[in-house]
Amino acid sequence: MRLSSLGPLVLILVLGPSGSSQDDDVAKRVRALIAELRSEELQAAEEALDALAKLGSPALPALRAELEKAAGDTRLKIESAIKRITRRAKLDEVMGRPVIVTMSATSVPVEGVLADLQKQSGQPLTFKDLPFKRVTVAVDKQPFWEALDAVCKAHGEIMWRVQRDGVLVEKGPYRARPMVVQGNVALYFDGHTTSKTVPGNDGTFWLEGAVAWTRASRPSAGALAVAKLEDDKATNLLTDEDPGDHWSWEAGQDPDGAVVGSAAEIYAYVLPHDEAEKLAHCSGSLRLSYVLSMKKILAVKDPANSKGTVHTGGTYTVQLQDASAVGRDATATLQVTYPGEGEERMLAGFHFALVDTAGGSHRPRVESQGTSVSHDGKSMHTTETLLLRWKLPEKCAIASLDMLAPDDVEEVTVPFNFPGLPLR
Amino acid sequence: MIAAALLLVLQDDVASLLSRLDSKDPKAAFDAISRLSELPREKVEPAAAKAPAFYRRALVAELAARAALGESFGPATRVTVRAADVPVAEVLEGLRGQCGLKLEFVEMDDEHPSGPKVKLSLEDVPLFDALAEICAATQSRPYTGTDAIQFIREGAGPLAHFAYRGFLITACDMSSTWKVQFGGETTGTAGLSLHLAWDPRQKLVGTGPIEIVEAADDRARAMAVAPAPLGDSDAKPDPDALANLWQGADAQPQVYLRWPGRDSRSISLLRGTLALRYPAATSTFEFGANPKEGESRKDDGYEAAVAAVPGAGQPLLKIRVKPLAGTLAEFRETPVELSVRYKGLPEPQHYGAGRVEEGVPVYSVGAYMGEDGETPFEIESVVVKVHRRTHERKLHFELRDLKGK
Repeated sequence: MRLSSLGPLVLILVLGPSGSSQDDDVAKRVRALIAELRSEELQAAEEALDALAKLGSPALPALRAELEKAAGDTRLKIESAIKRITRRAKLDEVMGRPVIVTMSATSVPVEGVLADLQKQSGQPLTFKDLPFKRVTVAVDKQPFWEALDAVCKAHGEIMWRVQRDGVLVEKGPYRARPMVVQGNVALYFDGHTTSKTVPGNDGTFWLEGAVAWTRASRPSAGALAVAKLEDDKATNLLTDEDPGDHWSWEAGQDPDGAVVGSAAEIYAYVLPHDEAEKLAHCSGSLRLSYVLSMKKILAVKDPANSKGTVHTGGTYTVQLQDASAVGRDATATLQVTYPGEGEERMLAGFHFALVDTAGGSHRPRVESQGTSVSHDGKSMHTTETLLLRWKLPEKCAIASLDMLAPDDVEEVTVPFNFPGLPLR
Repeated sequence: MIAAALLLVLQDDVASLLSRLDSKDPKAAFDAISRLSELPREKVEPAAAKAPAFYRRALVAELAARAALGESFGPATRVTVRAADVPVAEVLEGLRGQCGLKLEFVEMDDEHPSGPKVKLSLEDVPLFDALAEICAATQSRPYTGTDAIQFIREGAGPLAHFAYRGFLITACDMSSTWKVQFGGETTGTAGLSLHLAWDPRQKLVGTGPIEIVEAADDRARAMAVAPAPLGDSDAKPDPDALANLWQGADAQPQVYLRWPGRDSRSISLLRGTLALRYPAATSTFEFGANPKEGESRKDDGYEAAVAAVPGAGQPLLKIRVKPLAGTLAEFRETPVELSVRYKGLPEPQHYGAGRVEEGVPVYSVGAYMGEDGETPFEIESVVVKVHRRTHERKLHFELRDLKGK
């Protein structure tokens, strides 16, 4: 038996040339590209800027050194390259290092293979009482999700799925699900449900699946944007009223929530044709938001004695309806009003935190108590009533209830295209 | 001599009708048999043994019910309806004259308070068959109240109905669900709401379980009973509501069947039984005017206590009914009736919002509330009836061609 993992991709980079010669090479490359930045050919200059940005963090010292010497348009372009690199580095930090697996097992009990996969990947795998079977599986530098799927496929009688708090491998026939993997993120669909009234043809077509991410690379929010959903009888399942924007989850409300995955669902209110055999088209993209930095929108001082007060910050208005703190337990009920019809909030990901007098910040569990949408004659506004509950680590004096909202958000797109999904 | 001749005629009649159970329309033969005012057990049982299984069981159940229930067994009232573009309210008023039962159409449309006009021509048909026709003609459902049956427009009307001696089962909403697992199996389920209405003059105090004994799709393929879909709380049968019709005159048992093939389109046949409960032994507890919190009454089996009284923003009169012996499961199956007489109102109001909460049987009564949270009516008396023993009768029903219009 031999099981091994190359570990994170970054380790491969560490295996490259020694530090000083690598720095020299990068500095030379930076200088060469900066020379091209000055090109009068716009396309060449743009390509040079892109190439600089792609050099990544190792190029930063050289770029900063060149920035000191540069002026005018060149200086602006170098600043732009530095900004793109630092932003990318921040995004890599937030998205987590890629979990890449290489392993080779020949006739090894499946639980042993999974235990090794769990140990090497650091992912929260749960499995027990699986049908005993020796498996043979070889995976070369594959993302964690594909490696896990390969193990289940090799066994044939086990299947994996993501839950809120981990990945469950359980007894059941292996099924080749439509899945797309990009880095640490996987999007898969389990199947679909058609429900309709009889007589008539009113109902819903519901494509059920999940978004999975490796531990510590959780997006702040995600949504599915469906571009085309059509059966082989040319029935377009999307309508003008339902153009295919499907919110899959909103993680900002629930800081203790989903660890490695969440449901991803697509609803359509036009049903496939009775005689259709398959979905000719099912394509679109999964949009994931990663918050690079947050900013304080407003602060309610001494919240327990501020019931009924109204606070504004940015485009948000917060009315504190109730607040109390007993021992380690604290609660607050508040109404948040903001422009738009709710969906904007899905990707906005604002949240609240209690700040103690020692500067500690504590996130609550959030329960939605209802949402309403109103129109003030000019634009739509959404009002959400939220019940916040804290279990503080210890009894502490509360200084303020702060509202924070993302200051810098990066959206990552994972395209999907699953033609030919069976309808029967 | 005359009696012997009558018995011979009756015997021939029963034998002739029983032989028709094997025909294409066994329900008609069964209906004709059940209309007979007397069913001599010693004659029917041997003949019934030759009938198809479903009707054999139905006949045996009918004999048992007649023996157990005596006078409380519903009358086989027959009516005639001749209506050509007549408002439904007038049709119902005419029926009331024939059967003595209060029938009301609840019309939400202020411009047509008498309801839609109907065209019906029915000659000497069972009352509840006529009511089923009215439901179909007006796209309404019948709801049994304390002393009347009300018809309320809902959806597209019944898909199919079964009427029998003071009972009407209508198949209302049906949904078809197909679940496809990629790389796995495909399963289909039909979910059907059955709606029960009955003659309120019958001393019916509850229903029991519903059992499906035979079902087939539109290609005559057998359909298996499926478990209720998980996670759909609205679709689950509510054992409390089924156990006690007072809790919901609109008791709608849910039935789930598996589609046998992807090409199944509708249900062609559904045969089953619904248990009906009639009182055999009842504990009655009475409270006087404006009962006080903590007041209680008990006998050797049950205790009824006032758990809360309305007032000061508290909207409910809450009665806690507690069995002094027996299991909680048994109590769940025990129908409880609550009625409150208010000063100034001519009739007592009947309630039934009983729920077994966290292992404690609690029955709550919603009292009339004013906008300020105060009760505008004074309570004159409260009566709690616990039907500690019931006779159970199985209503054999059969629904065909559930396609709708």
